[in-house]
Amino acid sequence: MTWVAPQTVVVGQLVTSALWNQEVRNHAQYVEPLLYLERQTSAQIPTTANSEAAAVSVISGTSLSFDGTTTIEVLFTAPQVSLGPVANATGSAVRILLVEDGVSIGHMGRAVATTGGSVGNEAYPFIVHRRHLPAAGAHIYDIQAYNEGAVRVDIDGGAGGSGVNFPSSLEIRRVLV
Amino acid sequence: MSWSAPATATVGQNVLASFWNSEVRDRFLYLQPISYTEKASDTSVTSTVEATPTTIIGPSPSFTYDGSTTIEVIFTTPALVNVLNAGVMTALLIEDSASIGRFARSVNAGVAAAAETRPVRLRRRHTPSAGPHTYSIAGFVSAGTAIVRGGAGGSGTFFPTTLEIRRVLV
Repeated sequence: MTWVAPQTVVVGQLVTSALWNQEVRNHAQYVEPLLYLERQTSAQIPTTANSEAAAVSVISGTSLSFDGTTTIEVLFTAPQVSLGPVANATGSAVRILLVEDGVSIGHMGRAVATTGGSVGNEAYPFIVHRRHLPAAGAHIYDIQAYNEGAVRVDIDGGAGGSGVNFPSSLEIRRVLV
Repeated sequence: MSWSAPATATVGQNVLASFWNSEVRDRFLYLQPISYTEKASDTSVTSTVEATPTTIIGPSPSFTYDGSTTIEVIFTTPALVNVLNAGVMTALLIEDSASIGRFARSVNAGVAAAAETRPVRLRRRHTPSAGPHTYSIAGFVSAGTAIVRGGAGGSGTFFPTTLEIRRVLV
């Protein structure tokens, strides 16, 4: 269902079921997220996952049906991307990909460490997004990552609570164009 | 139009056109973004002067505000590359042609001359004065060059840098 600009009701106009369903039901449904997933464990990106083709999954979505006219926003968050969690971070680098039906459709973000010096000394939160118009039909969106450095990278997530990271998350919602 | 608490309908109340338009039409209109801009190319930030910064993205399309609506300005880039060791890049939020504040600051604190890269998402709530306004993101560096990455997407390619302006449900 495509977003349709809300219409103006004129004096004397009858509020029919068609009007209600379009203007209230459909618009309210439109703002509901299509998908929200969390991952409560860290995704380890090994050095062997060193190309787009060898990227590993961070969060895998579920199949969603699209009409070919609805633009979506894909939002990925992680409380911490650890560059060099088990070895010196210098030169550690990672790329986050948005994957549609198993094929990368672009890079959502990249992090490169420069400080080095000790283990686990560089980490960042990630909040990255992409607007996208899916073709009509069913599609699955995944977040994947690959490693551009010489040490492992972790994309962290946890259950939350004192001393514990919150989950990484994947949200897909329609855009009110 | 400012956001107001939704009205409570009472038993026997007629749903007048004015009631419908304020409670249904205007609320969904309020949720629509005011503007969304993408830039599918890199920006090299080279200015070292805050008063004459390098434009990163924008200006947004001109929009006329009522003086009471609070907006949220959201800027994203898949990768900010702070090239210079000990280099500093500062991002500014520009209203019309003047900075209204420092949006963010990035410092490359490396022990060697190596680029430091990370994705960035920034936001600022702001109540524009009544009248038309545009918004841009600009930046300046302490020295050297910082690169704000943006691309068209596709395999092996970054997604664009973006600037979104939307109303806030206060």
